[in-house]
Amino acid sequence: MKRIFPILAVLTGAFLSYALYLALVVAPTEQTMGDVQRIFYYHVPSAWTAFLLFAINFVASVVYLVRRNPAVDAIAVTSAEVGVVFCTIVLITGPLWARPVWGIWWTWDIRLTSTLVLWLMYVAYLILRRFSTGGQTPVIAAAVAVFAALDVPLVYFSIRLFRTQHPQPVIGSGGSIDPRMLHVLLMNWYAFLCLAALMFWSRYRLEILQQQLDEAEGLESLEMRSPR
Amino acid sequence: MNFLYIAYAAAWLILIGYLANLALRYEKLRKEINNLGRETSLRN
Repeated sequence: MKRIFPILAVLTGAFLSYALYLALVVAPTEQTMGDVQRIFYYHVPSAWTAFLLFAINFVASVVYLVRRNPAVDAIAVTSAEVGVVFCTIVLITGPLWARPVWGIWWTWDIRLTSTLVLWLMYVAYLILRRFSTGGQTPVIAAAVAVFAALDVPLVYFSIRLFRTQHPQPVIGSGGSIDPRMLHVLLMNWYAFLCLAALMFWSRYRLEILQQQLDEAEGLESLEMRSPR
Repeated sequence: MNFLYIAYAAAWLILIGYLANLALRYEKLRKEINNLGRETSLRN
């Protein structure tokens, strides 16, 4: 994997550049909003990628609660951290799109608020992982992650279940999107997925190394304490 | 148009910032592992 990684990184960089070109140049200009609508090609794929990573975190957390496998715990913390990165992009690009279109940066609408709550819960999860040193930390964090994941369906379905300022879904049931726009959207999502996979792999390796180091340090301190 | 470029620039800044952060953490961990290995070999 060490040899393949740089090749995959270059390929992902090329794919991201191509997707950026599609978003800024090839995609048709939306009639009402104009060019600012192109934020859509980063805002929506970031949200989908974050949801996918939080779903992985949920599954890994449940499995960890059952099996207590450190490798599964590493998957959980990795997916939460990379998910927070993409969720941060959603929360920054959203207001930058809302300001010229709605005339406001933010409104306490259920879609926006539940997304902010989702981000806060996963940031809290990461803070817990970072600063709690007890042996029960992964178990408590896994329990927190299970509760945090309950917000994902609320965020996703909020625009279908409630009247919101946020636009209705443009793809899937009831949505109507220009096929050229859909193509650009999907290409950007695939590019983001490739990047997320590389980030995930790097962060996972880091977590496994950290676990091994902690174990080695623990063993060393035990050796130092035990009489020779 | 400015909002569009700011949004894209912000997204890239976040992604590149995170990748840089990962690289720094990896380097720090590698040093810690080397130090631990050196200490262990010195003791033995």
